Amino acid sequence: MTHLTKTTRLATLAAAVMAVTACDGLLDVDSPGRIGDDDLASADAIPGMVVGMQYDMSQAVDGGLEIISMASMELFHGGSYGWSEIPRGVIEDDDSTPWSSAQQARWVAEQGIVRIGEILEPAQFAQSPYAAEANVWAGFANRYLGEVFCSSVIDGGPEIDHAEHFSRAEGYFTDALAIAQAAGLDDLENAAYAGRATVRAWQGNWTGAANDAEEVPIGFTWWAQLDTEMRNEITYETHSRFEYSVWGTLFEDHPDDPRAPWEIELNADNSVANGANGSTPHYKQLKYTDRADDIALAKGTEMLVLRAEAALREGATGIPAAYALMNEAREDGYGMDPLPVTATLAEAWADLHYERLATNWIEGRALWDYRRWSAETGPAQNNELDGRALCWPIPESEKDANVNFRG
Amino acid sequence: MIPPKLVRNGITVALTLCALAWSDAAVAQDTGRITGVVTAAGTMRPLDGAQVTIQGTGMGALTNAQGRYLILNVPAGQHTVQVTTLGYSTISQATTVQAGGTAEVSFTIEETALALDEIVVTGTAAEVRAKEVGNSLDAVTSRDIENLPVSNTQDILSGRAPGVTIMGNSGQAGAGGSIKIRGVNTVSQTASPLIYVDGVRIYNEPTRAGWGGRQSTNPLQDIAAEDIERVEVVKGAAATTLYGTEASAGVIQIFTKQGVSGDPIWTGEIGLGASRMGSFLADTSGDPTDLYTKCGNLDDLYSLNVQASPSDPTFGDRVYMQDPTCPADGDWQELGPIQQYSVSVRGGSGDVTYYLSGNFNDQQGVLPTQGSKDGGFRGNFGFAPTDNLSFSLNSSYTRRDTRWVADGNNAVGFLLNVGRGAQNYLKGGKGDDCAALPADRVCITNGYLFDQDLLTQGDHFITGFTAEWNPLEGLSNRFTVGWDYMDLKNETTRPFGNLFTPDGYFWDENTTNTKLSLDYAGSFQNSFGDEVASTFSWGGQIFRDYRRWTELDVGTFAGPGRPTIDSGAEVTYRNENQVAQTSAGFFLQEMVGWKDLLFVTAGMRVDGNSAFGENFGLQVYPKLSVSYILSDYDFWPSETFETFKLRAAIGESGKAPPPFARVRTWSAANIEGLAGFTPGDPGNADVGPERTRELEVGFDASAIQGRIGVEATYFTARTTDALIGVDLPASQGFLANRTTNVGELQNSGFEFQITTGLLRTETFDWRFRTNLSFLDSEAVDLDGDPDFDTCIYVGLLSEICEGERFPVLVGDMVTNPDEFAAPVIVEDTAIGPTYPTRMIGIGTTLSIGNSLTLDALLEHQGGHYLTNYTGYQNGRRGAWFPCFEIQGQMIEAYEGNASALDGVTARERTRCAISSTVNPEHGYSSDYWMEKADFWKLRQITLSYRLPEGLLAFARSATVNLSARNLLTFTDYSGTDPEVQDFADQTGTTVGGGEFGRRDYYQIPNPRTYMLSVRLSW
Repeated sequence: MTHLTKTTRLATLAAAVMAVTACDGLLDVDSPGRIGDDDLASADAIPGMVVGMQYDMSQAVDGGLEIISMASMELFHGGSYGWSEIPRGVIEDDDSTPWSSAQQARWVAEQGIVRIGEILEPAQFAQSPYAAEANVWAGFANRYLGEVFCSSVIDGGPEIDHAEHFSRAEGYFTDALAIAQAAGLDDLENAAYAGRATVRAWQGNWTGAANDAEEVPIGFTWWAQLDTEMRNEITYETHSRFEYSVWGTLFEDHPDDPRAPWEIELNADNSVANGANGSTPHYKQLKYTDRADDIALAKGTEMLVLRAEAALREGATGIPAAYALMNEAREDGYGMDPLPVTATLAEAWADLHYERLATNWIEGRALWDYRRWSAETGPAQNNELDGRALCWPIPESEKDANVNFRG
Repeated sequence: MIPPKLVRNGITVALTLCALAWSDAAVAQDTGRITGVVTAAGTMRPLDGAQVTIQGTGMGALTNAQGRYLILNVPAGQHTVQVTTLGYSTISQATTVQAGGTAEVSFTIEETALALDEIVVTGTAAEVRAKEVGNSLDAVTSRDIENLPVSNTQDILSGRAPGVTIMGNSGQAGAGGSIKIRGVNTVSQTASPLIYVDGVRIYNEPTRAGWGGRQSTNPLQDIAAEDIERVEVVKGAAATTLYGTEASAGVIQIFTKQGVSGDPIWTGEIGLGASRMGSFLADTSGDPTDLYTKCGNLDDLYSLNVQASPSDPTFGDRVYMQDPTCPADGDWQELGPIQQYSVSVRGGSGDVTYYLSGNFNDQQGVLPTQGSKDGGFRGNFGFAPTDNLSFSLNSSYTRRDTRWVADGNNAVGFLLNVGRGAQNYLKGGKGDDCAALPADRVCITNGYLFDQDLLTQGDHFITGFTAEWNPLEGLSNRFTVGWDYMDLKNETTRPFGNLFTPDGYFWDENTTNTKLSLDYAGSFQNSFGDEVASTFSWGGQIFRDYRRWTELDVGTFAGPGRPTIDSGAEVTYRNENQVAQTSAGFFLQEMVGWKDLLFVTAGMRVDGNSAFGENFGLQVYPKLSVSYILSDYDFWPSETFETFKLRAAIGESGKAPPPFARVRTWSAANIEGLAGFTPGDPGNADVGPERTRELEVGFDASAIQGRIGVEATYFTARTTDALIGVDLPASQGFLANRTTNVGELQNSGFEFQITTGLLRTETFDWRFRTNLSFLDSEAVDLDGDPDFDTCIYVGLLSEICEGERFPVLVGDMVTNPDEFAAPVIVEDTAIGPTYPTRMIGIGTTLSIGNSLTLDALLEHQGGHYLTNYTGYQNGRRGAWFPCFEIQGQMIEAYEGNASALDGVTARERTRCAISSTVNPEHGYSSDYWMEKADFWKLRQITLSYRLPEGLLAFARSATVNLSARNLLTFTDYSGTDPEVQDFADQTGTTVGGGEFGRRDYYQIPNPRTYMLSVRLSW
């Protein structure tokens, strides 16, 4: 029998070890399609970063619209999806929530602004259309969080009052406005004015809100943009599936309002079709009919109604001005007949409530309107959704993951 | 200059290939022949397929059905003839061959329940004797399966290896199943075992499920059962240490048939048969329509109107329906014909051996349009130019074409629509479909469900080249380079004019998986005196995986015609995912044997992986095992108890993190033609593999001339640094969780394999084999925080919860199910594990004479739970027959008759609940349909008849098999089939992808299969 020498054995072992360990780059892999964090530290990446902000904001608005519309009774749950008690106005911290996508939209925009600021020189930043747009997205993301959630968190921090998002949004809109004006960017300027008008109003600064709103043309709209890939879920769920119905909502009684269009879905035998739950008559909303239909975040007609609300807050003296503004929106914005001017503040507020709800129908805004109106006293108060939850709590998922909430 | 011997061998190879191995039979004058018969001791039955070789010559032959062999052209002189066959002792005889003469050498060999000298590969660095291995060994051989009705290679292991769980996910022809070894020992990674074919690691996870079919195939299906010589199952980390980072879920080693020296032996098999469901429900006693599939049964084709308002006068009334598209025989179920064809040839000449095969299978499903066809080729070549150098090239190609029926939780799924009666999505039909129906019948038109194509097409090519060089006595080197290429295409097409999607819809997904493996192993055997032997082994491997997956949805077509991705007006979804991952490592192992009685093996593996975090280095996995052969001592009563081996092993292996867990990444965010970035993976620079350390102890014994064999094993495994997707606060921007090594899991279990030969005479041979496995598990820690009880949702109502078995169904449980009383409900409690904790396989083989054999396998899986979502969804829609009477009583109670529910149990009250209005105390919930899924199935029963010798003059042997699979099922499960699974997918790294959670959601149950086959060898 031939024996290996010790040297031979060691050499064999060494060869085996070296074969594996000595190859430089042996474990390096290169997979396309993954974008590294460092790749974003470049001026070339700025346009993509801003598109990402738009994408995340659109996804947040689109993704949350179904449950917000059910919570605000703009749509009735007539389908088979399990939404816990949300359709009945009970919202728990472990229910479906738009929290994650909304927080991502805010974080992406806010962090993006910091990144853009690090990449561009201050003078470039001050006139950059990308910086202006980034600030607009940061503003709307904060407004969304402030409107939808009962309280909130910034970047994994402790719980804060939801209204902090409004002041935060005002800051971003103000920055956007300055950059847009410096760069001569009309659309972004209008968007910043429209956004700031709303968050100023929500903070009680109705004069400032009205002033900003006045700057926005009636035909202007700033959208959460969708396309055939990031589809409009409401379109799909009301046209392809029958999950949500206008039946049982406020607008069931307003079949001819062009701002809230719907129709009764009929079977082949002309009977009323039921929703996917088999029992709810399917009254199909027609505001969104294409899977790529965008969702408005701010628009000139809303600005008119906002100014009308500001006018009513002046008391009875503001009634004529309020009706003038509401009717301007109706006539010039939607080709509708004007409302007759009423004599009492209560009737005027009732009209204002309806006009605002109709103007922003299924845009994810009504829940906040009910929430703030329910907190009012006097004729401005609206108790239509009393007994129902009017905001989303910070979800269990955030509280479980956030060290500030762990006892 | 090319060496003459190589030229000669090259020519030999070429001739062999061209002529499919028919060599010239010219006999040189200085040669003779050796012939003889190989029979089994005791029964004196001839052994078919035993390998007879002439040592030192490379010459040999296989025995035929009569046990006879013939070796031609044997050089005159003295030779040693050896016979080997699995399950029997190896034996040699010397003989002298006269020139021109014939030497008769016959063998009678002892069967052994425990072949300690058998050579195994299982979990070792090199081939070793079974007696030297300190782990449990499980193997299934071609002899075990040659007569069985195997339509899917995974069936080979079903009920045959303790600790191995095979679950048939669907009754659709072509569907793959789930394979788990010793349960699930991970929270977030794939729990599928590694698969090696002839030493080449192949893709091991179920393929991506088709969007509409919601079922996947399994790579094991691509290895033709006819080609398999042996399957070894390597269980647990103690045995898989040398496989390293990705092996903690176990390893399945498949060895395919190789050529043997001698004349070519052809084997051909033709099988014809059919599948038939029998019934869709496990228990149809309460449902005359068999879940509304008997659509011609008009008198019983009704549901209850429980979805109207309780104040509606029609509330609770029967709603009759009719389907004008119902098949003429009144039943959606069909007989599914099956055809199976295979042919192979093996032989060799001189230094070259070959095994060539081809197969084609056509299995039609039990529903219209459903079926699967597959076929392929294999070529295994061996070449030994010198005594110490050999090469082998093993290659196979398989093509698969499966046409699914839409399945599972799918709005246009077969059972979701047909099975819901009137509450389906396909009412009204087209044109005048419903015109002739009575006005009081709801018109359902389920025939349009088949107006869609759901295809899976796969191409799978596996090749491996192995060189073995043994330059010195005791020194061996083996190098293998392997390449696994799998291309899979999934399509869903709803043509223009489709009832559900009138504008048409086309979904196209393409997946390419490749795996390159380089594997070197060496060993050196040495002895120190007469008592101490040593085997030192070393080796290294590199594996490089690549996967590309593209997906495109297109809609809105202009008109009829077969859609393509560019003929739709809208791209509604697109996705591409590319992943590359490399792992590399080496191992060292030393085995020391003492007096051939005690064997101690120590080894370690060192691994690196491209998925390890930046701050994470190489991983070291150690192992230590002991094997002690007590039966070789003089004091041992070996006449009765011939073998007894004690064994113990402890070892570690791991599981790599997902490829991109280590780095922060951004994903594409494109909208309205603009390209952007959105947060992807948050990244973890410290991420490493999870590690499983296993201790295994047991013994192997055989007694009474191999009539009784027992293998018993206890194992306990601790997985530390388990990879958990830790949620980050969404307010920090990244929504994907961070893969982190924070978990700790515990698995343990007992495994027994008992073989008994009850009767062994020349006329009767009756034996049993029983496998028993009992598994337990506990999720010890999931977050590194002892004060925080964490549950992780893993999809399909399943969770992994600290302190519980895992995965486990969690929900509201009725604690007094059988009481005639209001239900008492405990909320959010662990109800039971989703995978079996108890498996039993009882097989028996009865041979009568040399011709007739009856083989049967009864399998039990139990201890696990499954959600009968079909019952849940139908119950609340008034479409579950067993609830009809109860729901009537509920309505009575709601209307004021409080005693109406007196005879209704708490379980029935919750399951048949109508609404929170009628049943305000509990409402309806799928949780109430989580139930035990224990079952016994008669997996297969086969009657084989071997035709008498000479009946077919040209044939060495001919066998006729009549078999049935899944003939009987015994279960209390209320749904369709306790084995089924919705959306079985390969995405083990994706929560809810089907690896951990299981549910029955309108799945097609596994049918009965009947086959008649004829196998000829010539």
